[in-house]
Amino acid sequence: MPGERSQRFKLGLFVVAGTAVLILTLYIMGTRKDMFARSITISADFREVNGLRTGNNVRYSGINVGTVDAIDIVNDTTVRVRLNIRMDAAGHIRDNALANVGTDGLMGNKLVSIMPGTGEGDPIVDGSVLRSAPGLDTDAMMRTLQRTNDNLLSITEDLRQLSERLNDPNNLVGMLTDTTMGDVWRNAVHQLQAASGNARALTDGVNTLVTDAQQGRGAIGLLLTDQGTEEDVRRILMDLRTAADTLGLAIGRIDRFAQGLNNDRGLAHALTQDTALAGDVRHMMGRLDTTTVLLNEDLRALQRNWLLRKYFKEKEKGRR
Amino acid sequence: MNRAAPYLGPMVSTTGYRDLIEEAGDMARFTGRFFREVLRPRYEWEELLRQAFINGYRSLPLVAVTAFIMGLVLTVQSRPTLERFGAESMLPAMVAISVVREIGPVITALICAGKIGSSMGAELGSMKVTEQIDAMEVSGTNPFKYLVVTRVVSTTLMVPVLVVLADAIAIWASYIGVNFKDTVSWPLFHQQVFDSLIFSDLLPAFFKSFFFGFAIGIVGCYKGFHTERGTEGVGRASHSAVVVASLMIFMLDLVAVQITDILGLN
Repeated sequence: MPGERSQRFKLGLFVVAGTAVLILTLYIMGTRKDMFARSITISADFREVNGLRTGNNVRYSGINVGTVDAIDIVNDTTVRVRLNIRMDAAGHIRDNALANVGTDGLMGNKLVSIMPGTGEGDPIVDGSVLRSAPGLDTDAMMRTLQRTNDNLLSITEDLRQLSERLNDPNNLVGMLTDTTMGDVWRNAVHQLQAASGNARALTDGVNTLVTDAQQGRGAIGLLLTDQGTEEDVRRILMDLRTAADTLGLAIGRIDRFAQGLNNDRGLAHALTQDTALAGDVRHMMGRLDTTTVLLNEDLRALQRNWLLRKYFKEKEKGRR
Repeated sequence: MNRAAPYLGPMVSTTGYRDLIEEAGDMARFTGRFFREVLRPRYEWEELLRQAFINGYRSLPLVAVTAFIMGLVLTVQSRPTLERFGAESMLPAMVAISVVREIGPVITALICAGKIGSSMGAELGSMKVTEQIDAMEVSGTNPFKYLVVTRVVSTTLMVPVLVVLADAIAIWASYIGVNFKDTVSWPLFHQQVFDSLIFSDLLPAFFKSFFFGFAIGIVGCYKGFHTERGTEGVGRASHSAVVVASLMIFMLDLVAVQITDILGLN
């Protein structure tokens, strides 16, 4: 029946299309994993493979050249990774190349990246063992990034405090942004200019003075350069030395005199230092005063005595 | 005066549970009979091809449109999230993996459960209530082999084909979706898709779609084959086939994910 044949044709087309898509997909995926290409197997030893899995890509200078075939633990510090490398790429890879475990982008799959080594080397062959280099450790990167973030936080906190201080009107920036400060600064600059002029004039004067002195002009120049003046100065210095010696002798004598004064057995020491002597003298003076009063009374009595009365009358007449 | 409400018992009666378990047992026996019949000659090739045409080829337009929209929408909806991380270049890979691993098989199976499961339930249910199945038995034809085996085998074989085509269409729609706001060449898109896909993405999803097809066929046929109570029962069988088949698809998907995980293919 034609209807039935048409149905079968359509059904066949449908099934073939589905199957073809499936087979094509599997073929392309197989090609990507180098399942249908001739390849050689090499290996590289790593300390750690950082989550690498069988089937991950192998890149040489950034180009996919193969896949990870197997990952085996050799001992406690070594992991051996077997790599399938396409034959067409194997001829370009030298046995001194360096392999490391990296990541496709920041968040992509792990992969083995092979970089050319330095110097000459032979092309790799089946069974070659590549040297490995430590790869980029994302965890270490994140740890470093965390430390950087902490530092950044500290820096921004300092900057914030600095900014707050700068915004304070009593601080330097406040002074700089003060509009009256311009006049103050201008005056200060003018005064500095005047001071600078004075300093220049002073320096000129000093220069002139020094020049005159060097050339023997003026009192200082005469003092510094005249021979007679030098003799006079020398003589004055000799006189000064003689006077100093005489003064030294005088001072020695004064010193001895002072020592004499300080001698506790001398009169001067008794007069200046002995407080008991002062009391005695004060007592003696009091008694002398009393004695004087009594003596005056006695003398007035003598004047009225008949034996001496004549004498005193004659003396008074003579005085008149 | 308030009177205490009478105790109505548990919301689901023990009879409900018993019916459920009995139905599961019936379905298991029905499935066992299918395996016995599928291996035993004579094979109904003509009917198998007819059912494959109906269940496969005729489902393609619906599945294709659904897959196209699914790929396009998934791409357009995922773009803003990836843009936030500056990872728009990951869009082809993300859509491809999502479609191939999960969305393609499940959505296709659900579409088939709706279209094929309901039609099987209704068709076989009508035949059951109109006693055509009994008539076939009387006439010496094995109705199970002719009606059930052919349908179940056809869905088991056709759903995976539909899934593969749906995946391809969804990825092509994703290419169009990527180019809405970006300019990506087909070779680059193709390379990004196939760089991200590995065998463990495609093969488990492909194999589980056989089970999805089998579940759709066996549930649709069981519900149709056990239709009772006239035309009302036909409607119930139709909608019940869709519901149970959809539920089984999700349960099978869960089991498939666990098995894939145990085998280390995730």
